[in-house]
Amino acid sequence: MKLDPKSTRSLNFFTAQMTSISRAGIIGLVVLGLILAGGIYALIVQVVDGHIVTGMRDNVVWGIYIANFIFFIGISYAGALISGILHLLRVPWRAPIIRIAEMITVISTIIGPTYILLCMGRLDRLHHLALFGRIQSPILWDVLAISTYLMGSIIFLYLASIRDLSALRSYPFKSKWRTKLYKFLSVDFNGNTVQNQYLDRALNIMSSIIIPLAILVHSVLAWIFGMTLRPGWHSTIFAPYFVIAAVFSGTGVLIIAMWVFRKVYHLESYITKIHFNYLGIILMILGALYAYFTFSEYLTSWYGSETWEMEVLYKLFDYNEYWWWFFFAAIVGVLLPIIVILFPRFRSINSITAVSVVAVMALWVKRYLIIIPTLETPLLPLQDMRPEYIHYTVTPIEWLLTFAGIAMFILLFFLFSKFLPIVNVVKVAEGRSYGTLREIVANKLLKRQIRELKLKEHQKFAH
Amino acid sequence: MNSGYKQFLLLALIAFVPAFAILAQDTLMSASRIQAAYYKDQAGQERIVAKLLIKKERYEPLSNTEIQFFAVADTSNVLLGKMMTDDKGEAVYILEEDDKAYSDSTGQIAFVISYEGSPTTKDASKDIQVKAADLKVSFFQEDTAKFISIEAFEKEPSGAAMPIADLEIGLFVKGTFSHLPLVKEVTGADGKLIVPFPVELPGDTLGNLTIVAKIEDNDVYGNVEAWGRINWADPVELTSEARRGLGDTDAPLWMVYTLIVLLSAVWLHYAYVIYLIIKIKLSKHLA
Amino acid sequence: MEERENDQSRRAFFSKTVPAAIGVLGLGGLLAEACNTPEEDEEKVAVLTPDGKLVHVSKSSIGSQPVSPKEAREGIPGKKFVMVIDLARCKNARKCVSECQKMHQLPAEDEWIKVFLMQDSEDTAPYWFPKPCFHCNQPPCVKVCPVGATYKRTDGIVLVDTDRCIGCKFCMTACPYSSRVFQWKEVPKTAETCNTPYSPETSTPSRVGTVGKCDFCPDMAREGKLPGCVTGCPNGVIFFGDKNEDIVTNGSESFRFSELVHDRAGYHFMAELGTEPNVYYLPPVNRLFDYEKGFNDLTEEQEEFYKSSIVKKH
Repeated sequence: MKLDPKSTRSLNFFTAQMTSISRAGIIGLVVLGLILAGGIYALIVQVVDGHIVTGMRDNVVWGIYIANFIFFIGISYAGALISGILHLLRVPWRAPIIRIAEMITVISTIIGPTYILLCMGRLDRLHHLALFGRIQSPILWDVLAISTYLMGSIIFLYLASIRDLSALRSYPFKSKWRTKLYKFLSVDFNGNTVQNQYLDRALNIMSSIIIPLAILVHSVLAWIFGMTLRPGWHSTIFAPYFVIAAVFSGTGVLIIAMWVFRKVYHLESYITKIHFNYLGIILMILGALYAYFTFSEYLTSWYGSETWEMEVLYKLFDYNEYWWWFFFAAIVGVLLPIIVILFPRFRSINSITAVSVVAVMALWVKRYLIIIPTLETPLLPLQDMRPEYIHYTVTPIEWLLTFAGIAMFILLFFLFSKFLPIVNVVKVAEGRSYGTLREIVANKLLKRQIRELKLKEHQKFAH
Repeated sequence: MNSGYKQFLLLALIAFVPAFAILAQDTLMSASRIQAAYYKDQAGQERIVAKLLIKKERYEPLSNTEIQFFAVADTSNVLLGKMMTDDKGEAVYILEEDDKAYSDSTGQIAFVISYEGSPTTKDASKDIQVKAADLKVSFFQEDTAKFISIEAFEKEPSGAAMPIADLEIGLFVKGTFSHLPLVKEVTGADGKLIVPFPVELPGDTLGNLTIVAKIEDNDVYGNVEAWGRINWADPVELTSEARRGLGDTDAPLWMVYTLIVLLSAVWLHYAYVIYLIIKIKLSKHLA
Repeated sequence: MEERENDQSRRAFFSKTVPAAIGVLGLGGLLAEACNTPEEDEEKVAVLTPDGKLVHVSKSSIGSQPVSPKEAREGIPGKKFVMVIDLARCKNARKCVSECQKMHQLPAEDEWIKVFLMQDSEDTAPYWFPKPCFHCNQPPCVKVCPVGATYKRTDGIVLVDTDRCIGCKFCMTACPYSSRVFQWKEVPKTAETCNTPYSPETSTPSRVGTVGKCDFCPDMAREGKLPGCVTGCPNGVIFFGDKNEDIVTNGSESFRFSELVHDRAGYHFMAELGTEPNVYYLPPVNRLFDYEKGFNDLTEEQEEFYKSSIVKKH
């Protein structure tokens, strides 16, 4: 596909980074590799010795693995909702960040479900889900929903990359396999009108579908907990609560990823303060919504006198138990982003990223606080003398696998960025030539006037 | 003189040691006890159930030990069989036809059940005397009233059946795991007992009920049991076949339809998008 | 000619060695699964058949043919098993716990029937509360199993098929009574478990990575025998029977189930949850023992533990 000179310069900028690696990059890779190796060792230990090496016991049967699973599926909302909604609303400043967002979705939807696999007692019977699956079970809804979602987000990422892929296939790469790969994947797209129509139609369909799909996926995940008779889980607002938390954490991770790539790949001209500001405001609004849901949930629990609900609340408010984590997750993690972003004088690229880090960590802790305190306070209280059957403690094996998952996330991102430009080059180019929203509209009107004039001319000639 | 006195003392001591040993052994040996009872079940099979107990702190059953069953004949005891006790300390000997030959003139048979003992356990034995009795359960109806009739009789050596009067018989309903007690009554002079049939009792799916008549722990007749089956109880309904529901193998139909609609809505769109991608490839030469 | 001969010999070679190799591999697989245990002696035991006849059979033939997992999904026809637990008699003897563990070859830390010290309110006396699986008529565990490894039968029993269980533990989070136990590590095999094929009705052996729970001993019920907890209890606390027959027994006493529950005010534990349990409790009125007697066989530390963690529920 032919590009204008400015876009070609952009493309060259990215291809240079795609084909080289800095020293810092190599060090980073080594560190990630070490963490991953630790994770593989932990996996082998867990497979050989059984789940007794984790902290899970008969009371807390779902531990940090499930918290990680919910966390990763939650941050996948970056691509699904942010990118999808921004596309549908034709928001002009979305161009440089949508690829990062879509990559977050795909990678986290791959890593999240692997944590479920780690939590399952008999992985050798995974095929039973296909042979004997019962659709009355929320877990089966989750399996169907997540596989549909993964397929959808891969298709969405692919469609949004076709234009860049077609630009890349004519770039003189040193390695032949790259060019071959780009040739295959860009399905001979060359920017002609008909192909553009097809591609835009496909993009519209996918961005429309992925929004309700993402909402459904996280609702189904919430219903796995919401359908059980447990205090703290059997809540009617669990599905919307999870969805809001997910968009909140997804936006936070997007901001962090933007900051990281901006620094590592020197994207200062592409990802500007405007992007951070706008996404920061979105983060703040979502944070306020999330705070509203949290407040509503705990106020209702506290006001009613049901003993089983109070047991969980007492655990969360107990100084010796989860109070400091709860304080961080539900209060600090929400108020800090709101305060910092609310006042323009506090907003800067670094400050917005810093509060995003706090928000994301707070939400990870919140996922932990949703699962473990409830499992530690069943309706029929425990009477067991073994301390590990009363309190759940995360074992080193579980920590190793958690960090390995995060390392895998970063590694996959790194690999993706070597394969696709991290910024949607063609889209950015279009955006530059179109300019602001006002200019886009003016351009469209101008085009229509030109067409009508041409038609008149044609008719004149005909007579 | 002194040495002779010392020698005598030494000898006396040496003689006393085995005496002490024997005495000590006698008091060191554990006491044992045998409980035995005679049973006749509704199929007519007769058996003697013996339980061997050994005293530790309390009397506990002793398993995996041999118990011998004897019948008392005119001159001596005849060994009928040897059985090993099970985990509960019980050993069962099933009486055979020949064993009944040891009955005396009144038709009563005497049994001796004995345990030989071991180096650490005392021996034990138990005598029981038993006369064979028969129970018959039958049913009859007068107008709308239903009754159960039980007859008890014993067989004389001549072979004639004599009714047993003043015999306490327990009536039960047979259940899967146990017998539900109904009444305990005494036979009349004619050896018969008539009891109204208990109404509002559930039976099986066809309304069958089994009434059990038992002579329990009788000094003369031991334990005798007889059954009678009749179709007078309220029949019970069998559960219907597999339903569709949240807790069943098959899901409710509305769930199946919803899922099919939702999944196909999404995947059909995916298929269309893939079709569009193919069209993109095919239209590379168009303007 | 020569070529054909070579082909023949090559074919013959493969036709002989390949099946042999497969055979060896298969045998190897079997050997890996097999248990190295000595043969049992042919011991004879007296057994009462369901018709009430007494027969002597060899010990090894008893329990050697439990129902297959597929057949175990059908219930024993015409039965509706129910349990009544008399809280006025329980003295925390814990024989129900040990009998169940012995019968199902469970390690001491896995309890399928648990005994709690419970207190309804500050003003009432605590009592001992044995809790097996309730085999609910609306079981929350069965609803959520993604592969149907746990299921409800027509005779009311809820079983777990550990051939099918994938170990997701959703049923464990769904059960509000915490009745289920998970095998976190490999369970050592015994001679008996090696020689008997697995059946959900015996629930032995427990498999690592799967869920286990009280099963109301349906393999015993098929032979007309009561579950281990019922016969093991020295005070006759647990009654078991068929609701269709309306008879429950604790091994020595039998009652009409409807009368027992009616006269002694039988109730369901946490009935408001709507799970419709099949275990009824008789309130601890006119108790046989003071609850303190339950500490007789325990250490000071254990007594302290129970007193400090009294379950406040009804």
